[in-house]
Amino acid sequence: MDAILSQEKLRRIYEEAACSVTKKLMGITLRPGKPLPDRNACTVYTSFARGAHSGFAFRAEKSLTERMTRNMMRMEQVQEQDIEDYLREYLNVLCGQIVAAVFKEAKVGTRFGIPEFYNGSYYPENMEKSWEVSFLSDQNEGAWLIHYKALNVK
Amino acid sequence: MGKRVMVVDDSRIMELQMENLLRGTDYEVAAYCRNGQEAISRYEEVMPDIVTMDILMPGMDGLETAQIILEGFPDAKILMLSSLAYDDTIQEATQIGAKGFIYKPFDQEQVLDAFEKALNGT
Repeated sequence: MDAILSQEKLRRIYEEAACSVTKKLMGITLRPGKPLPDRNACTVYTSFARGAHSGFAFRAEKSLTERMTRNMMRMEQVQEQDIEDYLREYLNVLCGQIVAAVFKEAKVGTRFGIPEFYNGSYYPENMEKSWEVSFLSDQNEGAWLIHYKALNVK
Repeated sequence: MGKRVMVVDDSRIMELQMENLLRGTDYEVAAYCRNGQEAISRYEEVMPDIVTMDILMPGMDGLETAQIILEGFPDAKILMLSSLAYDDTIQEATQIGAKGFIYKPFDQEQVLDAFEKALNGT
């Protein structure tokens, strides 16, 4: 997607989508910020295809992912499997918003894969980190959106 | 008895969400299918009034699944339900005969409105 829109524009699209989807789905406010690096976290990842050839991860501290899941399920107790399922759905919605915004800006349609869940960090094969944006939640938990590009894409 | 909805989605979240959202309405979740193949093989047995079909699923995607169901049952009322909400997806869904599109994230009003429109042909 780096070739389709400027990095600055993409960052803005990612930031706005993350803030609005997180607020709408979970009632949690994210704001741009600098969390401490890699505290206990988990990651959901997907790759874009058709005109994009890039990847996209959402990584967040476990306490935030638990809270996100509890808020989405409207339940006090959640299981590991719930967190995995809800984060995958969250990324699915988030990617949809990003793809729609990119289409609106650049008239380029993109598809993305089925989101995958990982405990801890995840480093996709044949991709390199292109850039990331970081957030703090309303309870100062950290979250990161990481954009990857394929190694053979200039 | 309420109108019967078949939910086709690889995420169990959608089944839970749809059940919560349709509680107390004229609709009920009659069947939940985790993939396109299951939806195709169960459609005739369930004969739902409405199908909500996710687009992004492992194996056969929702557009292909909808197309196959519509070939066998041209009157099927299939609504594509997806976070992929941009023009060429909508165009593709319309071309194969889907009756509408529901975008994630959605609320009860949006879903019921889409159901009514699909059933009334508006």
